[in-house]
Amino acid sequence: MSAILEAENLRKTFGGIVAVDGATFEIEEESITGLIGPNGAGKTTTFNLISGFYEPDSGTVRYDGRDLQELMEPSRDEKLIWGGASGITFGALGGIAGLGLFGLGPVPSVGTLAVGAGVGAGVYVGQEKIRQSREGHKNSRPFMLAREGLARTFQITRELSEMTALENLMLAPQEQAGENLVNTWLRRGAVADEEAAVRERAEEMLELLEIDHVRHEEAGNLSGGQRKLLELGRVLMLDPDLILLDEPVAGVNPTLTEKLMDRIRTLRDEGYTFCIVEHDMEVIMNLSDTIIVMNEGKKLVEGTPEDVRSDERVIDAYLGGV
Amino acid sequence: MAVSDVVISFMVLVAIYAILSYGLTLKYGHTGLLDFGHVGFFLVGAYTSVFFVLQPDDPSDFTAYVVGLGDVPIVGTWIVGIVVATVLAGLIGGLVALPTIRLREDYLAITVLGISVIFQRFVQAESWFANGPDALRGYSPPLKGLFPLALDTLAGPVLFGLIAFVVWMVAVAVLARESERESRLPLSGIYLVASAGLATLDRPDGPLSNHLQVAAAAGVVAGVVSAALLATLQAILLVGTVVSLFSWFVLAVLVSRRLGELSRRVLATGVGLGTGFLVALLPIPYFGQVSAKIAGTLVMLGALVAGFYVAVDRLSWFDEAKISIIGVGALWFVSLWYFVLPVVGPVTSGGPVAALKPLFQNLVWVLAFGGDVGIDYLVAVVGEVTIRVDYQRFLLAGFTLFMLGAYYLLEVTVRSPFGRVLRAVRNDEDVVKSLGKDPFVYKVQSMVIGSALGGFAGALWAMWTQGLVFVTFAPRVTFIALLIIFIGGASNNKGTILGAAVFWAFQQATTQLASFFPPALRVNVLAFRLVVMGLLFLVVLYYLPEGLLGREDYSTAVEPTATDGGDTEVDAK
Repeated sequence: MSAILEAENLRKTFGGIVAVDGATFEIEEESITGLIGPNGAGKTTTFNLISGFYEPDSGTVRYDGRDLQELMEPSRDEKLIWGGASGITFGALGGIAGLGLFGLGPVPSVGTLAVGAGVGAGVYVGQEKIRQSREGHKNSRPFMLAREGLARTFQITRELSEMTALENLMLAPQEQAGENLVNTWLRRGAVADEEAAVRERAEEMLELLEIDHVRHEEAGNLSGGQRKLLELGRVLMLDPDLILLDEPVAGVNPTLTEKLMDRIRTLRDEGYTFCIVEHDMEVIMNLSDTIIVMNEGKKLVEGTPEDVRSDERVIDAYLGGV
Repeated sequence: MAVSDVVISFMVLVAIYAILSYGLTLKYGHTGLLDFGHVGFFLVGAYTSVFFVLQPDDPSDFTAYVVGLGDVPIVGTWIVGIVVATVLAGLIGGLVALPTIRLREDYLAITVLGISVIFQRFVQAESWFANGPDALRGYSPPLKGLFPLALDTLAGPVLFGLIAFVVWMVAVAVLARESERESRLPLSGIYLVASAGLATLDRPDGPLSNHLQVAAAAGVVAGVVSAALLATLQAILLVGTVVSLFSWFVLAVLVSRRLGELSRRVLATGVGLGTGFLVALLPIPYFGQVSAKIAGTLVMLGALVAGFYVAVDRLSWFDEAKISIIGVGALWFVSLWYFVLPVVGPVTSGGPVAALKPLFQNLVWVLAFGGDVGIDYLVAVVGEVTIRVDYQRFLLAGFTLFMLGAYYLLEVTVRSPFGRVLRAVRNDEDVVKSLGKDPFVYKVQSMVIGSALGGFAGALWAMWTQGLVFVTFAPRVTFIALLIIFIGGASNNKGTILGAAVFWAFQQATTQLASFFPPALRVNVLAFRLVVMGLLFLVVLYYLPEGLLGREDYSTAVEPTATDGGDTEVDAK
């Protein structure tokens, strides 16, 4: 087995607080890795770092052998399309302005055209700069990772509250033809066919998670546990390779928790990889192949559940050194 | 001006403002982009389209503008103007979006507001661009020269056929839906006849796959038949009467079905409310003194509102049915105003027969009556009438078509996986990101299409007003559009049309009432409307945060491929 995700010397500070301080660990392919630690140990920040939602101050995360930050860079094509479109439009406006409005001759108008194109390209670069200065520690393009097969859930559920449970799930599948406006307007038959297939998958997922009775309920009206399940279902609909689950069973009843654990194990056997943050020790000890214990932003111990359970340092950390 | 003419111009304005507001419905209602500068795209659309149809600027006269392409063949037409106006407004919307759309929503709102004000001030200050602070005139709307229609040319019957096409299509579409419900009338039979038998082709394997296609085909048949009747027999009165009466019939079916769902108590209360409202307004035309006009009306309106408020507060059935009651009241009030009030004057002065003429003219609303130009007819009982087919009715037919087109486009757009992503963006962008979709791309697309709709509405506005002044593009228009979408329900496509209707009904009603005041006071009365509008906005936001029609379910509603018996009943809700 090889590592699907390698984190090296991750460090992240918020103001004066060092949330993650040099964490180094690996997540093995086709395994379930548990991430535990006392409150404030930096689990959720680590989670946000390896899912690409935060940019680390230093250190690297490699997913499938490639650097996360590189994966999230806009592709050259994308830069060309947006920068080019912006440049061409402003350039055309500049040219028209030169010719028509200011009554310049053709030669100076080429000048205004060039100025316009420059301004257009500048607008594109500028909006990236604005974005970076405003959002600081946050990455704006974590969606690139979901496309590469790295998906996550949120600790506090982020259901789309005004949309039905079914719609929440149907949103997830990648590269739906109907998400393109041209297809939506002109190839309605093909879009409807695909939509029916997506709906079928979503219905199956709802049944699997035993929330099919609320399929047409707005997600905001669901109970806490149901929302957790919905979020799990949504991430599974993405069909990713590595799934990061932030407290997946908090608020879910014990019977269903058992079922979910079975399901996660089955999925692992089918080739999925999981990384789970969970406070329920019983669940995490039962489920995980490997457990990483974090404390004060660092990896404290890594090992099998048995190793971790008996480790002095872990007991110290949890009991606060009493 | 006959009452039907007032209604026609009202409906034209509703169509323009509905299309304008559709831009905001998409941006704000469906995507959550708060755009306070929507009027900027309205302005871009209006001026762009006009530059295409204006003749080249004559430096010797007093107007000045930068370019007039009216003498260039093909390019200098309204069609090209409208298309370019729409595309340009969309492009500018996209460009504005590029640097601002990643800001927080309030920053976006303020940035775009600023940009719209820059546009407006540019037009005002740069007098070489579009005649500066003065009106930009000197162009005429499309085909204006052909009106009032002459029936002995080819153009006359064809253009009237177009009007008949739109009216008939809309009526058949409504009838098609109504014919599926229980009714004492043989509606499906009437539907079959009205669609010239085309309804039988509406089968899963047939050439027409839904009601809309049947309605469009039936409209075409009606249009062609009307044009043929006009060209051969000059039967304009016959065709106009049939088309008008059919539209009234369908409206009556629709209204009576809706009213039939309400209890008697609600109906009676609604009628009482509508009558009370009419009575409350009576002091304005009938009292001589201005103070008596205002005091009388305000006291009675106050009593009405207070009574309504108390009833909502005390009676639970009243509270539940309050929107239905207001609806019934409004309907009753409008019918009194349309059918009864125009008759009151003639009845008192000339007896019942004299009253038939205005009644007849209001019924046959497709045709315009009176005026110097026109064709004289002798109608039994009613007497002699002069008939024109005027330009307003032609515009109405065209604009209604555009409005329905915009509605259809919006429905298709939001009832799709694309619309689902838009709604997800409105709910929570981080989730969209975590699911591998770039919210930025979707927001830009929403901005482009919404702005293009604004530009399209601008071009129609230019056509309607036949003159552009910078003051009409004040930021106020954006907030009127916002009010319109809030009245109907911010993300409800049908609600936008309703909102536009409510807004313009208010505008036109107050204009009419203002005419009963002495000229010096009229300006004040009209200015006071803005205050009332602000209050209306507050009332809507406070008491009806979801609008009159509430939230609509825009899921794609596609059945799963595997037929699963349990689903259908859930979907039915």
